[in-house]
Amino acid sequence: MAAHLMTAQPSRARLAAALVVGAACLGACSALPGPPAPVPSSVLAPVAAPTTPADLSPDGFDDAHRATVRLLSIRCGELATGSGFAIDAHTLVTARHVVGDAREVRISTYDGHDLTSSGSATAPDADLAIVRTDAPLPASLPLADADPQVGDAVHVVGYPKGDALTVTSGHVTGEHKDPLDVNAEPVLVADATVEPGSSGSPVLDDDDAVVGVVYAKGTNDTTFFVPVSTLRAMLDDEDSLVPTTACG
Amino acid sequence: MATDVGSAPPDPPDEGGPQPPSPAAGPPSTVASASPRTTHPRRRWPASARVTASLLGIALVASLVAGALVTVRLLDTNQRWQDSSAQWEALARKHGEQAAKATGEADQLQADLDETKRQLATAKKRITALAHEKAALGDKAATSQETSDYQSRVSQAAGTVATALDRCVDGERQLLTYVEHADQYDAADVARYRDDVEKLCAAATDANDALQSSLES
Repeated sequence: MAAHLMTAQPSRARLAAALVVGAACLGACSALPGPPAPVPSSVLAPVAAPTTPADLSPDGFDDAHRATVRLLSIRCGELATGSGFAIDAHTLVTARHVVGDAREVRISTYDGHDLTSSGSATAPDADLAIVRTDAPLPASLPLADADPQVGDAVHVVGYPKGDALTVTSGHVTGEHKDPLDVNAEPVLVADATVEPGSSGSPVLDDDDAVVGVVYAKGTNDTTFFVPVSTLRAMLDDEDSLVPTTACG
Repeated sequence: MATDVGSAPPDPPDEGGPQPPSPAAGPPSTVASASPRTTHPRRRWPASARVTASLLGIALVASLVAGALVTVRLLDTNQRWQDSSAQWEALARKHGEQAAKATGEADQLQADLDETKRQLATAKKRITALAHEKAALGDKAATSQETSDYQSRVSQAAGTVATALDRCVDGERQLLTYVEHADQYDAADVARYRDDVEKLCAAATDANDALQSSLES
């Protein structure tokens, strides 16, 4: 029995030793660095497909330019130029004194296209008017939700003296009673430069939203403009508008 | 149990008598059936030494085998890494060339874009200028039309004045003839004719006033 035990011990010992060595081998192998990962055919990060901005202008002009029009008001024996801007595809806003008593109103766009007016109407208590067009206008401008505050930057887009389309910039300097007494509500003043012919020009904020409509030029290069709240009130009560009557 | 190989042999086994050394792993039956030897007993290793030696031998063989396996594995892994490194280098060179090409194309596109922007700015200025020129021509045309309309109105008014004056003058002359030969005409008819002539002359005066008004406007 003892011999049996003595001969059995080496056999088990071999097995144990083999297991130990095998385990050690496996351990050693596992400690070795593994094979490298397959090399990809490309490591370039995916590039997003180029997209075109939805509001990209078709001709490089922004909406402020595209929506602002030049008005030629033909009265009896008198011609006058002014500015206006589109608020939708067929409606322009301008100053009342630009189209009042006009026998004919001719509209030209930023790129020289001529449009015909299908009628106009004026506000009874503000120097504002709307002009309808048969043909669609190139672009329109959104109205700001609120009037600008003193110190806010503003931009005036128009046709001063009937010349080329121009943009001038300034800041709102205050609120005043209308010195011309053509507006029942107080008007705003800015230090942007305007000239005769700028009447009806849109006064825009930095986001190209309409915050007012130019109607007069003051001294020291000041601009008087009707605030957008008055414009909104006029547009909300179109029944109060008075159709324009031609002179003569 | 540990035994020094140089020490005296251990106590004989229970069966008595010396026994030839047998493989440590030999079957027990071999040991049990072994017959006593008549030769001088050989010095045998203690069982623990034999076991130890066996274990060491096994361990040595296993280590050699394991070492060989690890070596093979290391060589294979090394080759794989070298291949991978070469592929990565090739890929890096390929992407480098692509990057260089893309950079060149981007520079060219940027230059084209800058030039296009300049051309667009020039085109916009030109469009604005042309629109202004057209508007100015429209103003001149409208002014000319207004002038033409005005001149037409004045000419028409002047013609009306001239016609009315002619009729007035003719009537006056005829009236003078009637007055000079009043005895040949009925007085009532002459008076009626005078009234008609006065109306003609009043119309001429009105036409003249209208002309003057047109000239002043």
